Amino acid sequence: MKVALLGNPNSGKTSVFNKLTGLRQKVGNFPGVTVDIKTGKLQMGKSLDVDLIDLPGTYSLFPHSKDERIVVNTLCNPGDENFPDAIVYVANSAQLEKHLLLFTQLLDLNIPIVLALNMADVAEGKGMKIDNARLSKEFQTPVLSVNARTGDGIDRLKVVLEEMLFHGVQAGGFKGFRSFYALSAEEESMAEVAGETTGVKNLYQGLLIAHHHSWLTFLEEWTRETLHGALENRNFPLLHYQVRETMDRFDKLGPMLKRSVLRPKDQPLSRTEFADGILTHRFWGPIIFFVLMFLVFQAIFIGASYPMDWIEQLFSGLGHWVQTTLPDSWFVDLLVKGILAGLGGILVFIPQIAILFFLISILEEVGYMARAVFLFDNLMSRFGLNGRSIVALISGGACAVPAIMSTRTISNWKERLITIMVTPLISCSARIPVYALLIGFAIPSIPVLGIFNLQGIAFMGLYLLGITAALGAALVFKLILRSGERSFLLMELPDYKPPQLRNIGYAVYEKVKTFTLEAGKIILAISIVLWVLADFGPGKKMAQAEAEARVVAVQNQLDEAATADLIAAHQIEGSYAGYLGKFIEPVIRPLGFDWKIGIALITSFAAREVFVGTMATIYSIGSESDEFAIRDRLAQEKNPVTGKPVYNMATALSLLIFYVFAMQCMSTIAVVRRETHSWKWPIIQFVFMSGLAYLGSLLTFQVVSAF
Amino acid sequence: MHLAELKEKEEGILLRFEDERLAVKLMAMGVLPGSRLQVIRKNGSGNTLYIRVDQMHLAIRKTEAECIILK
Repeated sequence: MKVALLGNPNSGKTSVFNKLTGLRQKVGNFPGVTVDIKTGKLQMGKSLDVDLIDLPGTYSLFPHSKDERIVVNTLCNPGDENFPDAIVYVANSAQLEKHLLLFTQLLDLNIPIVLALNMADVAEGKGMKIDNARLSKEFQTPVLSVNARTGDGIDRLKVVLEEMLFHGVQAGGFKGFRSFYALSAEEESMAEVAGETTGVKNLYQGLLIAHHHSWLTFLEEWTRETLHGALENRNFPLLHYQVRETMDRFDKLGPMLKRSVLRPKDQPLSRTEFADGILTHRFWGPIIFFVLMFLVFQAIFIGASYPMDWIEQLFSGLGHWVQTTLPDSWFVDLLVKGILAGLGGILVFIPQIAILFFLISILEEVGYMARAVFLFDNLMSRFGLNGRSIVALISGGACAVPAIMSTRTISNWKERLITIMVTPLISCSARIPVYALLIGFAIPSIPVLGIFNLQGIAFMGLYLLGITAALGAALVFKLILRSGERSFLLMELPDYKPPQLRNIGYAVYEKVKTFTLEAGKIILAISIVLWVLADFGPGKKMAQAEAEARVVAVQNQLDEAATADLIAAHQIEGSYAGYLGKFIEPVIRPLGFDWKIGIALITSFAAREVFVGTMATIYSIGSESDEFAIRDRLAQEKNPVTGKPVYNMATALSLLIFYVFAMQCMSTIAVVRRETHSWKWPIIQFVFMSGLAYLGSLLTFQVVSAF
Repeated sequence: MHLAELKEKEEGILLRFEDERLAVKLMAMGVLPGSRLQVIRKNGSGNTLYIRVDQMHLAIRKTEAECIILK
């Protein structure tokens, strides 16, 4: 049995879903498309197996975005695997007049439906009185109040739903099906044609198929052509009929609601408008926004540092324990240097991502994010982006993977694509360890103006560079990409409301899970590949390297640890990774990089954060691979020919610039491929970002070296 | 007269839409002929409007507001 959850955006549908299913929910994919589908198990009285499907929020069955189209695609196709046996419709009581259009459309599909009036307490607070019994009579279907915040009415909703699923609507004392909207003769004849060609029985389903025949995915090509021909013959202007139908529905709905909803005449100036007097102010609005974002990032850096340290210590301790407990073998090596190191590398980012999405979800829940969209739509649209892009760009500050997934709310394909293309240029959390290592190396820690630190300013500068590059690239894409699709802002600014911890908890859980699974498995796989590249070499090179190192060690009377270091250093040169690094050295030499950096660059193309670990391996200080140890080691590194330090200011800056621009994240590439349905866009993205990185580094190194 | 011509705090009654695609979208959100519209705020050099429609608030672009004809 399947139950679909439907409602307008801002109806509190997600809260109701969370309340109904608890943790028994999972995220999947709609067949054939990349829109996420959340399903959960409904625990009914007799422990029946009922799936609750959370369909995307939409205002009507005349959709504009990809997400909204899912709803029509599911509900017009009785053969769809998600076609529901019953519907729970969630409406915001305070906005009842506006939130019932979709409900009346669903009534006409003749699927058992229960109307759940959410936030009844808010409506009451505004002086509204809703007569549920009367509404129930008008619509001939169960109507009840729920409060997703407190859980009031949720149990009752389950009982009503169970009754409806297993005994039908009539058992509740309701009359059988009668359609809400009376189709005109033209509409009826068109609906019949659609019914005949698709085998759909319901008249309104037929009409919807006729309206949306051009994109409904379950239609076969000949069906599409038949319907197209029939529409042409009948001179059936689709939009015109959609407007007429919508008008007619509201005309009918108005008097019904007048009979059952009591509204006070004078509405006081809402607190929302009062708050927005400041929050959306043309001057203070953006300032407040940036202060908020600054606080969010401060919270990430301060809040995440301890748990990140614990995770790092845990994994290095675990690795040490495994190495000392188990006998020395290639398997133990794989376990420690490949698997454990990879797992640590994934988990270490979870605190940052959790904190970022915790705070962003609060802003979203409160209703503030919609204001951010309003504030930045004008600016963003100049760059070919959408006000909604600001959310993705900010989320990109933590990780481009969930950020790119968040662009699904942008209904215009061109704006969405540009957002996807430029988001990885925003410095993500994986760049932080690389930035920290190299800034610590190249920029002195000296106070500026008493309260700032030069290193902090450099950090800020790198972020700004990323943002500038993202906007610049967006502008270029705006000019290159052609699109006939129209761009809309048109968005509801919901009333401010206190956040619900439960919803935020689920949002954070979902994002962390997505990151761990989407990016985690690739990081782990790459970590193992890296171990192979670094621990194995062609022919007997590795054994030779070890023998050579031992000779040198004996000559210099090195102790045991230093001997091990030296062996590792010789071995990596003889390994596959060493060969690769040397192979690309001529290409990267103009950027100031040697073959050792080359190895780190190659490994970083899998994931940026690998850079630090790779540098530790190359200089075989894995046992003490903290930032400072690596930094000290880098400072000692001399060019064997010139005798000058390899890592001077120019090299470090050049590397920093490279990491700002380069597309060094296979997880992002995988997500872009998934979101754009083709390899074309991730390849273009990879090429333009790498090109930008190469040119940027080249310029930096040559200019800085000249001074 | 269209919606974008209103100044901040001014209001008007919606007469009709100039653009059917936008009409379908707006009407689904409950913005209907006869609705009372008030411009609460204009941002981004007048390119983004914050409007109130009955008890609901909307963000709308100037180009979209130009398709909304008032009485």
